Amino acid sequence: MASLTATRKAAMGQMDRRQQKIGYGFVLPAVIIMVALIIYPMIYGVYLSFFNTNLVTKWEYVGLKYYQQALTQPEFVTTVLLTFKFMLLVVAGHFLLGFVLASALNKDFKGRLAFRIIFMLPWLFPETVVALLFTWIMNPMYGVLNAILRHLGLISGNVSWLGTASLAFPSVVFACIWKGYPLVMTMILAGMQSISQDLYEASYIDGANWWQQFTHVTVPSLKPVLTTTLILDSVWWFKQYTLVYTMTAGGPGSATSLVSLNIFSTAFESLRFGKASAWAVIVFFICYLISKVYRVVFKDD
Amino acid sequence: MKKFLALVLGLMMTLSMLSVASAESSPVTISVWCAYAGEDPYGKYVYDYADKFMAANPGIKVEVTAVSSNDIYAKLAATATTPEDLPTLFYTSADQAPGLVDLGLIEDMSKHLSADDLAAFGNGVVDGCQVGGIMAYYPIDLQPLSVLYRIDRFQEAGLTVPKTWDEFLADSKALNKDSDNDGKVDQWGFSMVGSNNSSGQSRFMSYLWSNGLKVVYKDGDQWKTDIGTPEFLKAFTFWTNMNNVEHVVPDGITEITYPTAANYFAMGYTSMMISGGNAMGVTYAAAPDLKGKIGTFPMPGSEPGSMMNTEGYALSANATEEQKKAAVEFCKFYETNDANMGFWQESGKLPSTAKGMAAEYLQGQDYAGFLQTIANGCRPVNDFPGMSALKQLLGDAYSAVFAGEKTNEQAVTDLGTGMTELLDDYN
Repeated sequence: MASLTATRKAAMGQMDRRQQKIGYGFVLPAVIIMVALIIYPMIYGVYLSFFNTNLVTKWEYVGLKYYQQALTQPEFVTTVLLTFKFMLLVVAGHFLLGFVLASALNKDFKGRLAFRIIFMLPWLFPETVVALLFTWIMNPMYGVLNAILRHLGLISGNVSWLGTASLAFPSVVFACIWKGYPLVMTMILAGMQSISQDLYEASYIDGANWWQQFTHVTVPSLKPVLTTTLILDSVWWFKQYTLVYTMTAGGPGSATSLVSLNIFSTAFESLRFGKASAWAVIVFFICYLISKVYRVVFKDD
Repeated sequence: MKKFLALVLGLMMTLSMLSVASAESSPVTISVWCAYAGEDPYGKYVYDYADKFMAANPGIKVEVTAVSSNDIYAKLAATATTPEDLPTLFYTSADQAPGLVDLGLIEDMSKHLSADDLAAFGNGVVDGCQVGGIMAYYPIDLQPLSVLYRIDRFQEAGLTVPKTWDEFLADSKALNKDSDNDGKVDQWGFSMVGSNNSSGQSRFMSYLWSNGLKVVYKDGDQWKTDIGTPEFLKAFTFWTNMNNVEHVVPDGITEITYPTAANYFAMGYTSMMISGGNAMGVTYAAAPDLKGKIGTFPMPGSEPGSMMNTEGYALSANATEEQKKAAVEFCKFYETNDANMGFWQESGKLPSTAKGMAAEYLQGQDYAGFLQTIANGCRPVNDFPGMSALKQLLGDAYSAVFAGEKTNEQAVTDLGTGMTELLDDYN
């Protein structure tokens, strides 16, 4: 009897091991792709950050020089702070607009589908198209924005929206909010549609007003959706490149000089790949921290 | 069933082997990344010449991809570690070539050209393509910087061609105009390219050179700079003051890229512009009635402000010998196939051959300044391999002052710090 049990156990173990092997086999292609496309480039990026290199003819080991420079010179810190400010404003704009529009589009009214499609349009346009569109709208000489404001008597002369340090940043933030709010709106709308009406009815019977329903029913029910959207949106806009580069190329001066633009310019225009890699490694940890902080703050109790 | 499958597999293998064999006998393909191809009104000639070349050489296939001249350097640099991705030919110019030669991406063009081929180029043109001891590219055209100006407006205001930058500023002020009498200037003296990109940075660099500043130079085996000297600060301040103090340039200066500045000049918003002949092409295409009203003169200043600014096609060091041969033939065909010189006439760029430079259409006063600039002697090519980074530092500095972010003194101090760090990387 005992030997029968032992034989059965051995057979089960053999089957488990075989199944494990099959499992590894299934996972292997994904692992290989991840290593080739994510892990290896990251490790190579870290390796590069220790060299003064153009990747071909010059390989001078500099140790932690570029990390030290990044953390001690104001250039990097200023750029990162500006990028944080940009990210916070854009993400806040997305959530504000997203909540308002999702709440409106969650109501039942005639033509709701048409409005849902119209409000999704900015998300469908490529970033370069949106950037060029806003560049033309805001052109100081022949832009339609100046023409309208002059017609309304709000300005007397041409305003250089993207050429003035104080105006370029808010102008770019506005364009980025316009481009990105549909994603947040759609996520919130999808989340709202999954909230049971019973909860609203129960809270109504308990005497809750609109605001109390929003804070005690809507927001808690949306928490998982909000957390995911917030992390995705924050990281996406923290490393934004295309829209800002096309509109201002980081200027005027350093008014819109986001960290991603600086890294690209340092690597591919100045051919200082080591310095750019050091900055990129630091930015990677910043993005990781953002996601960690959000997860801690929005931890589901 | 098994037999049938084996038969199908066998057939597929045979077909694939046949396709490989036919690929081997297919024409030589040369790929070209071209900054001319995307430009109006002359980009069409690139495709036209390529089609004619392929018709004349059925064994060669030319694939042209349009890439903007401001983007092509970064795109080429990105292929540094995978040179097999480089096109056979790619557009480059005197200010971009040093970095690309330093990366080892470029084949010495002179190895593929005969003495007769080289002798056909205009005086000094081959020297204008020498970078790091090699002929870095086949020169298609020259773009020495000069000043385009409106002859009619100069005559109307009783102005003479300026020889110094002070005179240039005085003329610019005289050309500022409130044409609709609403109390605001709507016509400016100078179409400055104030954007922080290669076009703006190159013009600023030329302006500095014309003031006798070296910016970066080799002293023994060390790269050095005169950025930070009182002369540099003075010249830097003069440039930024043209926008911030004198207001002789249009509104939104940091947004004014080369195409914008050229269009402002063509539309009559401005009366002078520092440019190569390409702005002439843009102007005549947009406003043909300006023919006869545009003149050019060499850049003001005590020293030559411009290199010859040769532009052309560089040969990939990674191409096969067959491709290199075909590519060089294409370059020669490009330069010589069109008796009407359509590409050069419509682009405004000067031809690189001695025969081309003697063309009748170049003998008017619209091209006189460019030819005079060449005759006066251009600057030798500066082959500092960090030129692209240096230009970026210069652009960051003037852009910060235009934006009101920094004073001239702060900008020049920060520029000096950046320059020290950059030279440190190359010394």
